[in-house]
Amino acid sequence: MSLPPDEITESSIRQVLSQIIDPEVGANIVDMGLIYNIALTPTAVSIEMTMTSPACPMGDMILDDIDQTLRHYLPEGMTHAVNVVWDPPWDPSKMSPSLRERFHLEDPDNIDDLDLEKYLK
Amino acid sequence: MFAVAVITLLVGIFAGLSRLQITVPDISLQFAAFHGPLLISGFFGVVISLERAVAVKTATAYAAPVLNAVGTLLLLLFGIVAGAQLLAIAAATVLTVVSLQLLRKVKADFTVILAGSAACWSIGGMVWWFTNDTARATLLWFAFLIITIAGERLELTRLLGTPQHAKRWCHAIVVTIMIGALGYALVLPGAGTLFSVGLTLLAAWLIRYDLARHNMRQTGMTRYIAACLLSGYGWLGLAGVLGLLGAFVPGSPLRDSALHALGLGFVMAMVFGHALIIFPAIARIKVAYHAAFYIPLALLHGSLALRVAGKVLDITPLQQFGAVANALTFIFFAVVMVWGVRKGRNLSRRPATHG
Repeated sequence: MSLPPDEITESSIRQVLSQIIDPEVGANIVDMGLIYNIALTPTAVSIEMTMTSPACPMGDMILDDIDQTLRHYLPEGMTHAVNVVWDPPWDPSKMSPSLRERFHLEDPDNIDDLDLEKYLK
Repeated sequence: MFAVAVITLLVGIFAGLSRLQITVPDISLQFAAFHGPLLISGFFGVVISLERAVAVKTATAYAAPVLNAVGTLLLLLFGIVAGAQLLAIAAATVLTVVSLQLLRKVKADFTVILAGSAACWSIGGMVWWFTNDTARATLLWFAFLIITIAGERLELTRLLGTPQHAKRWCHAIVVTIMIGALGYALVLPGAGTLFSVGLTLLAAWLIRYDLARHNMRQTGMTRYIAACLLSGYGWLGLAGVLGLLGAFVPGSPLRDSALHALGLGFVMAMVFGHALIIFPAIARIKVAYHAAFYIPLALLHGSLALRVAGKVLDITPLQQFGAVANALTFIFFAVVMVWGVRKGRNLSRRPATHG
Protein backbone atom coordinates (compact mmCIF):
# COMPACT_ATOMS: atom_id res chain seq x y z
CA MET A 1 0.00 0.00 0.00
CA SER A 2 1.45 3.38 -0.98
CA LEU A 3 2.16 6.15 1.52
CA PRO A 4 -0.23 9.14 1.59
CA PRO A 5 1.44 12.16 -0.13
CA ASP A 6 1.57 14.16 3.12
CA GLU A 7 3.57 11.39 4.78
CA ILE A 8 6.36 11.43 2.18
CA THR A 9 9.27 12.78 4.19
CA GLU A 10 12.99 12.03 4.29
CA SER A 11 12.36 10.06 7.46
CA SER A 12 9.57 7.94 5.94
CA ILE A 13 11.66 7.25 2.83
CA ARG A 14 14.57 6.14 5.05
CA GLN A 15 12.17 3.88 6.92
CA VAL A 16 10.99 2.35 3.66
CA LEU A 17 14.57 1.87 2.42
CA SER A 18 15.53 0.22 5.70
CA GLN A 19 13.57 -2.84 4.54
CA ILE A 20 16.34 -3.55 2.04
CA ILE A 21 18.88 -5.93 3.48
CA ASP A 22 22.42 -6.65 2.36
CA PRO A 23 22.41 -10.42 2.98
CA GLU A 24 26.17 -10.65 3.18
CA VAL A 25 26.25 -8.23 6.08
CA GLY A 26 22.84 -9.01 7.53
CA ALA A 27 22.03 -5.32 7.90
CA ASN A 28 19.83 -2.86 6.05
CA ILE A 29 21.27 -0.29 3.65
CA VAL A 30 20.18 2.68 5.81
CA ASP A 31 21.91 1.37 8.94
CA MET A 32 24.98 0.61 6.85
CA GLY A 33 25.17 4.29 5.96
CA LEU A 34 24.84 3.74 2.21
CA ILE A 35 22.12 6.40 1.80
CA TYR A 36 23.86 9.79 1.63
CA ASN A 37 21.06 12.14 0.73
CA ILE A 38 17.32 12.17 0.02
CA ALA A 39 15.89 15.15 -1.83
CA LEU A 40 12.13 15.59 -2.12
CA THR A 41 9.89 17.65 -4.39
CA PRO A 42 6.08 17.31 -4.51
CA THR A 43 6.43 14.93 -7.46
CA ALA A 44 9.85 13.29 -7.14
CA VAL A 45 12.22 11.54 -4.76
CA SER A 46 15.92 11.74 -5.53
CA ILE A 47 18.33 9.52 -3.63
CA GLU A 48 22.11 9.81 -3.53
CA MET A 49 23.80 6.69 -2.24
CA THR A 50 27.01 4.70 -2.33
CA MET A 51 28.12 1.06 -2.15
CA THR A 52 30.85 -0.34 0.09
CA SER A 53 32.84 -1.52 -2.94
CA PRO A 54 32.84 -0.75 -6.69
CA ALA A 55 33.87 -4.38 -7.31
CA CYS A 56 30.73 -5.88 -5.78
CA PRO A 57 28.21 -7.17 -8.34
CA MET A 58 25.40 -6.93 -5.81
CA GLY A 59 24.95 -3.21 -6.49
CA ASP A 60 22.40 -3.79 -9.24
CA MET A 61 20.34 -6.06 -7.01
CA ILE A 62 20.22 -3.40 -4.33
CA LEU A 63 19.21 -0.79 -6.91
CA ASP A 64 16.51 -3.13 -8.24
CA ASP A 65 15.20 -3.60 -4.72
CA ILE A 66 15.14 0.15 -4.11
CA ASP A 67 13.23 0.63 -7.36
CA GLN A 68 10.77 -2.15 -6.52
CA THR A 69 10.26 -0.88 -2.96
CA LEU A 70 9.76 2.75 -3.92
CA ARG A 71 7.33 1.79 -6.70
CA HIS A 72 5.34 -0.01 -4.03
CA TYR A 73 5.32 2.78 -1.45
CA LEU A 74 5.28 6.01 -3.46
CA PRO A 75 1.89 7.34 -4.57
CA GLU A 76 0.98 7.19 -8.24
CA GLY A 77 2.51 10.02 -10.26
CA MET A 78 5.51 10.40 -7.98
CA THR A 79 8.81 9.50 -9.61
CA HIS A 80 12.09 8.39 -8.08
CA ALA A 81 15.74 8.39 -9.12
CA VAL A 82 18.83 6.90 -7.52
CA ASN A 83 22.33 8.20 -8.13
CA VAL A 84 25.30 6.09 -6.98
CA VAL A 85 28.32 8.18 -5.99
CA TRP A 86 31.82 7.25 -4.78
CA ASP A 87 32.73 10.58 -3.25
CA PRO A 88 32.81 10.74 -0.32
CA PRO A 89 33.81 7.08 -0.09
CA TRP A 90 31.95 4.91 2.39
CA ASP A 91 33.65 4.32 5.72
CA PRO A 92 32.51 2.66 8.97
CA SER A 93 31.75 5.98 10.69
CA LYS A 94 28.68 6.24 8.41
CA MET A 95 27.05 3.21 10.02
CA SER A 96 24.20 3.72 12.47
CA PRO A 97 25.04 3.58 16.20
CA SER A 98 23.00 0.37 16.58
CA LEU A 99 24.91 -1.40 13.80
CA ARG A 100 28.24 -0.17 15.16
CA GLU A 101 27.25 -1.56 18.52
CA ARG A 102 26.31 -4.91 16.95
CA PHE A 103 29.75 -5.14 15.36
CA HIS A 104 31.45 -3.90 18.55
CA LEU A 105 32.81 -0.95 16.60
CA GLU A 106 33.52 1.41 19.47
CA ASP A 107 35.15 4.43 17.90
CA PRO A 108 35.32 4.42 14.10
CA ASP A 109 36.99 7.81 14.07
CA ASN A 110 40.12 6.16 15.41
CA ILE A 111 40.31 3.90 12.38
CA ASP A 112 42.21 5.35 9.46
CA ASP A 113 40.21 3.31 7.01
CA LEU A 114 41.34 4.78 3.73
CA ASP A 115 44.96 5.42 4.50
CA LEU A 116 45.86 4.32 0.97
CA GLU A 117 44.32 7.55 -0.31
CA LYS A 118 47.24 9.66 0.89
CA TYR A 119 49.79 7.37 -0.78
CA LEU A 120 48.02 7.41 -4.12
CA LYS A 121 47.57 11.17 -4.32
CA MET B 1 29.15 -17.06 -21.17
CA PHE B 2 27.43 -18.57 -18.17
CA ALA B 3 26.61 -21.66 -20.23
CA VAL B 4 30.29 -22.00 -21.21
CA ALA B 5 31.23 -21.77 -17.53
CA VAL B 6 28.77 -24.54 -16.61
CA ILE B 7 29.98 -26.82 -19.44
CA THR B 8 33.59 -26.15 -18.43
CA LEU B 9 32.74 -27.02 -14.83
CA LEU B 10 31.14 -30.32 -15.85
CA VAL B 11 33.97 -31.35 -18.20
CA GLY B 12 36.52 -30.31 -15.56
CA ILE B 13 34.79 -32.42 -12.90
CA PHE B 14 34.58 -35.47 -15.19
CA ALA B 15 38.23 -34.95 -16.17
CA GLY B 16 39.14 -35.01 -12.48
CA LEU B 17 37.12 -38.18 -11.83
CA SER B 18 38.80 -39.91 -14.78
CA ARG B 19 42.16 -39.35 -13.04
CA LEU B 20 40.90 -41.50 -10.18
CA GLN B 21 40.06 -44.35 -12.60
CA ILE B 22 36.35 -43.63 -12.30
CA THR B 23 34.29 -44.31 -15.41
CA VAL B 24 33.21 -41.05 -17.04
CA PRO B 25 31.83 -40.05 -20.46
CA ASP B 26 34.48 -40.71 -23.15
CA ILE B 27 34.56 -37.08 -24.21
CA SER B 28 35.98 -36.11 -20.81
CA LEU B 29 38.90 -38.54 -20.96
CA GLN B 30 40.90 -36.42 -23.40
CA PHE B 31 40.77 -33.54 -20.90
CA ALA B 32 42.16 -35.49 -17.94
CA ALA B 33 45.37 -33.46 -18.13
CA PHE B 34 43.38 -30.22 -18.12
CA HIS B 35 41.40 -30.76 -14.90
CA GLY B 36 43.10 -27.84 -13.11
CA PRO B 37 43.20 -25.37 -16.02
CA LEU B 38 39.55 -26.05 -16.90
CA LEU B 39 38.26 -25.57 -13.38
CA ILE B 40 40.42 -22.68 -12.19
CA SER B 41 41.48 -20.71 -15.26
CA GLY B 42 38.45 -21.77 -17.32
CA PHE B 43 35.44 -21.93 -14.98
CA PHE B 44 36.49 -19.54 -12.22
CA GLY B 45 38.21 -17.25 -14.71
CA VAL B 46 34.89 -16.72 -16.51
CA VAL B 47 32.81 -16.50 -13.31
CA ILE B 48 35.07 -14.03 -11.46
CA SER B 49 35.70 -11.78 -14.46
CA LEU B 50 31.97 -11.84 -15.28
CA GLU B 51 31.16 -10.96 -11.68
CA ARG B 52 33.58 -8.01 -11.86
CA ALA B 53 32.15 -6.93 -15.24
CA VAL B 54 28.61 -6.90 -13.83
CA ALA B 55 29.86 -4.54 -11.11
CA VAL B 56 31.96 -2.29 -13.36
CA LYS B 57 29.60 -2.29 -16.38
CA THR B 58 32.12 -1.31 -19.07
CA ALA B 59 32.70 -3.00 -22.43
CA THR B 60 36.36 -3.51 -21.49
CA ALA B 61 35.36 -5.34 -18.32
CA TYR B 62 33.07 -7.68 -20.28
CA ALA B 63 35.94 -8.44 -22.69
CA ALA B 64 37.64 -10.52 -19.95
CA PRO B 65 34.96 -13.22 -19.54
CA VAL B 66 34.29 -13.22 -23.30
CA LEU B 67 37.96 -13.78 -24.17
CA ASN B 68 38.29 -16.50 -21.55
CA ALA B 69 35.07 -18.24 -22.61
CA VAL B 70 36.22 -18.25 -26.27
CA GLY B 71 39.63 -19.62 -25.25
CA THR B 72 38.04 -22.37 -23.16
CA LEU B 73 35.72 -23.30 -26.04
CA LEU B 74 38.72 -23.52 -28.39
CA LEU B 75 40.19 -26.10 -26.02
CA LEU B 76 36.95 -28.02 -25.45
CA LEU B 77 35.68 -28.09 -29.03
CA PHE B 78 38.88 -28.18 -31.10
CA GLY B 79 41.60 -29.15 -28.65
CA ILE B 80 43.50 -25.90 -29.33
CA VAL B 81 45.53 -25.59 -26.14
CA ALA B 82 47.47 -22.50 -27.29
CA GLY B 83 44.17 -20.69 -27.91
CA ALA B 84 43.03 -21.36 -24.36
CA GLN B 85 46.43 -20.31 -22.99
CA LEU B 86 46.74 -17.05 -24.92
CA LEU B 87 43.13 -15.97 -24.43
CA ALA B 88 43.34 -16.77 -20.71
CA ILE B 89 46.41 -14.51 -20.47
CA ALA B 90 44.55 -11.78 -22.40
CA ALA B 91 41.43 -12.14 -20.21
CA ALA B 92 43.45 -12.08 -16.99
CA THR B 93 45.38 -9.02 -18.14
CA VAL B 94 42.11 -7.22 -18.93
CA LEU B 95 40.78 -8.18 -15.49
CA THR B 96 43.96 -6.82 -13.88
CA VAL B 97 43.62 -3.49 -15.72
CA VAL B 98 39.88 -3.24 -14.94
CA SER B 99 40.58 -3.94 -11.26
CA LEU B 100 43.28 -1.25 -11.19
CA GLN B 101 40.83 1.20 -12.78
CA LEU B 102 38.57 0.72 -9.75
CA LEU B 103 41.19 2.65 -7.79
CA ARG B 104 39.85 5.78 -9.47
CA LYS B 105 36.53 5.18 -7.72
CA VAL B 106 37.72 3.90 -4.36
CA LYS B 107 41.34 4.21 -3.32
CA ALA B 108 41.56 1.31 -0.90
CA ASP B 109 43.83 -1.61 -0.15
CA PHE B 110 41.28 -4.23 -1.18
CA THR B 111 41.12 -2.83 -4.73
CA VAL B 112 44.89 -3.25 -5.05
CA ILE B 113 44.59 -6.79 -3.70
CA LEU B 114 41.88 -7.66 -6.25
CA ALA B 115 44.17 -6.40 -9.03
CA GLY B 116 47.01 -8.48 -7.56
CA SER B 117 44.83 -11.59 -7.63
CA ALA B 118 44.03 -11.04 -11.32
CA ALA B 119 47.75 -10.57 -11.99
CA CYS B 120 48.35 -14.02 -10.45
CA TRP B 121 45.88 -15.50 -12.95
CA SER B 122 47.67 -13.69 -15.77
CA ILE B 123 51.16 -14.83 -14.69
CA GLY B 124 49.80 -18.36 -14.16
CA GLY B 125 48.57 -18.30 -17.75
CA MET B 126 52.00 -17.18 -18.94
CA VAL B 127 53.68 -20.00 -17.02
CA TRP B 128 51.24 -22.47 -18.63
CA TRP B 129 51.95 -20.99 -22.09
CA PHE B 130 55.74 -20.98 -21.77
CA THR B 131 56.18 -24.34 -20.00
CA ASN B 132 53.05 -26.32 -20.96
CA ASP B 133 53.34 -27.56 -17.38
CA THR B 134 50.03 -27.06 -15.59
CA ALA B 135 51.50 -28.22 -12.26
CA ARG B 136 53.91 -25.25 -12.18
CA ALA B 137 51.07 -22.80 -12.79
CA THR B 138 48.73 -24.41 -10.24
CA LEU B 139 49.70 -22.36 -7.17
CA LEU B 140 49.47 -19.10 -9.13
CA TRP B 141 45.97 -20.07 -10.26
CA PHE B 142 45.04 -20.92 -6.69
CA ALA B 143 46.57 -17.62 -5.57
CA PHE B 144 44.16 -15.94 -8.01
CA LEU B 145 41.18 -17.51 -6.24
CA ILE B 146 42.49 -17.24 -2.68
CA ILE B 147 43.58 -13.61 -2.98
CA THR B 148 40.33 -12.62 -4.71
CA ILE B 149 38.47 -14.01 -1.70
CA ALA B 150 40.95 -12.35 0.71
CA GLY B 151 40.42 -8.97 -0.98
CA GLU B 152 36.65 -9.26 -0.91
CA ARG B 153 36.66 -10.29 2.75
CA LEU B 154 39.09 -7.50 3.68
CA GLU B 155 36.64 -5.07 2.10
CA LEU B 156 33.83 -6.30 4.34
CA THR B 157 35.93 -6.36 7.52
CA ARG B 158 35.76 -2.55 7.38
CA LEU B 159 32.32 -2.89 8.97
CA LEU B 160 34.11 -4.17 12.04
CA GLY B 161 36.59 -1.31 12.01
CA THR B 162 39.57 -3.61 11.44
CA PRO B 163 42.60 -2.06 13.18
CA GLN B 164 45.57 -0.94 11.11
CA HIS B 165 47.93 -3.62 12.42
CA ALA B 166 45.43 -6.31 11.33
CA LYS B 167 45.26 -4.81 7.86
CA ARG B 168 49.04 -4.78 7.61
CA TRP B 169 49.03 -8.45 8.57
CA CYS B 170 46.53 -9.16 5.81
CA HIS B 171 48.67 -7.28 3.26
CA ALA B 172 51.77 -9.21 4.36
CA ILE B 173 49.93 -12.54 4.13
CA VAL B 174 48.67 -11.78 0.62
CA VAL B 175 52.19 -10.84 -0.51
CA THR B 176 53.54 -14.06 1.08
CA ILE B 177 51.03 -16.15 -0.87
CA MET B 178 51.87 -14.33 -4.12
CA ILE B 179 55.63 -14.69 -3.67
CA GLY B 180 55.23 -18.35 -2.69
CA ALA B 181 53.10 -19.09 -5.77
CA LEU B 182 55.48 -17.21 -8.08
CA GLY B 183 58.50 -18.92 -6.55
CA TYR B 184 56.82 -22.30 -7.01
CA ALA B 185 56.31 -21.54 -10.71
CA LEU B 186 60.00 -20.66 -10.96
CA VAL B 187 60.89 -23.91 -9.13
CA LEU B 188 62.58 -22.02 -6.29
CA PRO B 189 63.30 -24.09 -3.17
CA GLY B 190 61.04 -23.41 -0.18
CA ALA B 191 58.41 -21.62 -2.30
CA GLY B 192 55.73 -24.22 -1.53
CA THR B 193 56.44 -23.85 2.18
CA LEU B 194 56.19 -20.05 1.94
CA PHE B 195 52.86 -20.43 0.12
CA SER B 196 51.68 -22.77 2.90
CA VAL B 197 52.71 -20.32 5.61
CA GLY B 198 50.58 -17.74 3.81
CA LEU B 199 47.57 -20.11 3.63
CA THR B 200 47.80 -21.00 7.32
CA LEU B 201 48.11 -17.38 8.42
CA LEU B 202 45.29 -16.31 6.11
CA ALA B 203 42.98 -18.94 7.63
CA ALA B 204 43.85 -17.69 11.13
CA TRP B 205 43.41 -14.06 10.04
CA LEU B 206 40.01 -14.72 8.47
CA ILE B 207 38.75 -16.66 11.48
CA ARG B 208 39.90 -13.83 13.76
CA TYR B 209 38.93 -10.73 11.78
CA ASP B 210 36.25 -11.70 9.25
CA LEU B 211 32.63 -10.69 9.57
CA ALA B 212 31.54 -14.34 9.45
CA ARG B 213 32.02 -15.03 13.17
CA HIS B 214 29.71 -12.12 14.03
CA ASN B 215 27.16 -13.21 11.45
CA MET B 216 26.82 -16.70 12.90
CA ARG B 217 24.60 -14.98 15.48
CA GLN B 218 22.27 -13.80 12.68
CA THR B 219 19.56 -15.84 10.99
CA GLY B 220 18.61 -17.05 7.50
CA MET B 221 20.85 -16.38 4.52
CA THR B 222 23.30 -14.25 6.48
CA ARG B 223 24.05 -17.08 8.89
CA TYR B 224 24.19 -19.63 6.05
CA ILE B 225 26.80 -17.52 4.22
CA ALA B 226 28.77 -17.18 7.47
CA ALA B 227 28.65 -20.98 7.96
CA CYS B 228 29.96 -21.50 4.41
CA LEU B 229 32.78 -19.03 5.04
CA LEU B 230 33.87 -20.38 8.42
CA SER B 231 33.80 -24.01 7.26
CA GLY B 232 35.86 -22.96 4.24
CA TYR B 233 38.43 -21.27 6.47
CA GLY B 234 38.92 -24.60 8.22
CA TRP B 235 39.85 -26.27 4.92
CA LEU B 236 42.10 -23.35 4.03
CA GLY B 237 43.95 -23.86 7.31
CA LEU B 238 44.18 -27.62 6.69
CA ALA B 239 45.61 -27.00 3.20
CA GLY B 240 48.21 -24.73 4.80
CA VAL B 241 49.15 -27.38 7.37
CA LEU B 242 49.37 -30.09 4.69
CA GLY B 243 51.58 -27.71 2.69
CA LEU B 244 53.85 -27.24 5.70
CA LEU B 245 54.09 -31.04 5.85
CA GLY B 246 55.39 -31.03 2.27
CA ALA B 247 52.21 -31.27 0.16
CA PHE B 248 53.57 -28.83 -2.43
CA VAL B 249 56.83 -30.67 -2.92
CA PRO B 250 56.60 -32.37 -6.35
CA GLY B 251 55.45 -35.96 -6.03
CA SER B 252 54.12 -35.56 -2.49
CA PRO B 253 51.28 -37.96 -1.63
CA LEU B 254 49.62 -35.06 0.25
CA ARG B 255 49.44 -32.83 -2.84
CA ASP B 256 46.03 -34.08 -4.01
CA SER B 257 44.53 -33.57 -0.53
CA ALA B 258 45.99 -30.07 -0.13
CA LEU B 259 44.83 -28.90 -3.57
CA HIS B 260 41.32 -30.28 -3.09
CA ALA B 261 41.11 -28.86 0.43
CA LEU B 262 41.74 -25.50 -1.24
CA GLY B 263 39.64 -25.96 -4.37
CA LEU B 264 36.67 -27.82 -2.93
CA GLY B 265 36.79 -27.13 0.80
CA PHE B 266 37.70 -23.46 0.72
CA VAL B 267 36.79 -22.07 -2.71
CA MET B 268 33.63 -24.12 -3.37
CA ALA B 269 32.32 -23.40 0.14
CA MET B 270 32.63 -19.70 -0.77
CA VAL B 271 30.76 -20.43 -4.01
CA PHE B 272 27.98 -22.29 -2.19
CA GLY B 273 27.60 -19.32 0.15
CA HIS B 274 27.73 -16.58 -2.42
CA ALA B 275 25.84 -18.30 -5.24
CA LEU B 276 22.63 -16.92 -3.74
CA ILE B 277 24.01 -13.42 -4.24
CA ILE B 278 26.25 -13.76 -7.30
CA PHE B 279 23.87 -15.82 -9.47
CA PRO B 280 21.02 -13.29 -9.13
CA ALA B 281 23.50 -10.46 -9.79
CA ILE B 282 24.74 -12.08 -13.00
CA ALA B 283 21.52 -13.67 -14.25
CA ARG B 284 19.14 -11.08 -12.72
CA ILE B 285 17.04 -13.88 -11.27
CA LYS B 286 16.17 -13.78 -7.59
CA VAL B 287 17.03 -16.87 -5.51
CA ALA B 288 15.18 -17.36 -2.25
CA TYR B 289 17.13 -18.74 0.68
CA HIS B 290 15.95 -21.92 2.36
CA ALA B 291 17.50 -23.99 5.14
CA ALA B 292 17.84 -26.83 2.59
CA PHE B 293 20.98 -25.05 1.34
CA TYR B 294 22.78 -26.47 4.38
CA ILE B 295 22.37 -30.00 2.96
CA PRO B 296 24.71 -29.60 -0.06
CA LEU B 297 27.11 -27.66 2.18
CA ALA B 298 27.26 -30.58 4.61
CA LEU B 299 27.59 -33.05 1.70
CA LEU B 300 30.43 -30.97 0.23
CA HIS B 301 32.44 -31.09 3.42
CA GLY B 302 31.53 -34.69 4.27
CA SER B 303 32.44 -36.05 0.83
CA LEU B 304 35.67 -34.04 0.78
CA ALA B 305 36.60 -35.41 4.20
CA LEU B 306 36.09 -38.96 2.83
CA ARG B 307 38.15 -38.14 -0.25
CA VAL B 308 41.02 -36.68 1.79
CA ALA B 309 40.88 -39.54 4.31
CA GLY B 310 40.93 -42.07 1.44
CA LYS B 311 44.02 -40.46 -0.02
CA VAL B 312 45.90 -39.97 3.25
CA LEU B 313 45.10 -43.52 4.45
CA ASP B 314 45.74 -44.89 0.94
CA ILE B 315 42.28 -46.44 0.64
CA THR B 316 41.53 -45.88 -3.05
CA PRO B 317 37.82 -46.93 -2.99
CA LEU B 318 37.18 -44.43 -0.19
CA GLN B 319 38.92 -41.67 -2.17
CA GLN B 320 36.90 -42.60 -5.28
CA PHE B 321 33.65 -42.69 -3.30
CA GLY B 322 34.42 -39.26 -1.82
CA ALA B 323 35.22 -37.85 -5.25
CA VAL B 324 31.98 -39.16 -6.82
CA ALA B 325 29.99 -37.89 -3.83
CA ASN B 326 31.69 -34.50 -4.29
CA ALA B 327 30.57 -34.40 -7.93
CA LEU B 328 27.01 -35.44 -7.02
CA THR B 329 26.97 -32.68 -4.40
CA PHE B 330 27.23 -30.10 -7.18
CA ILE B 331 24.21 -31.59 -8.90
CA PHE B 332 22.31 -31.56 -5.62
CA PHE B 333 23.33 -27.95 -5.03
CA ALA B 334 22.06 -27.06 -8.54
CA VAL B 335 18.70 -28.71 -7.69
CA VAL B 336 18.40 -26.68 -4.48
CA MET B 337 19.30 -23.53 -6.45
CA VAL B 338 16.54 -24.22 -9.00
CA TRP B 339 14.12 -24.68 -6.12
CA GLY B 340 15.35 -21.35 -4.70
CA VAL B 341 14.78 -19.65 -8.06
CA ARG B 342 11.20 -20.95 -8.17
CA LYS B 343 10.58 -19.63 -4.66
CA GLY B 344 12.34 -16.39 -5.57
CA ARG B 345 9.84 -15.75 -8.37
CA ASN B 346 7.07 -15.55 -5.80
CA LEU B 347 9.14 -13.28 -3.55
CA SER B 348 9.98 -10.87 -6.37
CA ARG B 349 6.32 -9.93 -6.63
CA ARG B 350 6.59 -8.33 -3.17
CA PRO B 351 8.63 -5.27 -2.27
CA ALA B 352 12.34 -5.81 -1.34
CA THR B 353 14.41 -7.85 0.19
CA HIS B 354 17.16 -10.43 -0.06
CA GLY B 355 17.11 -11.41 3.58
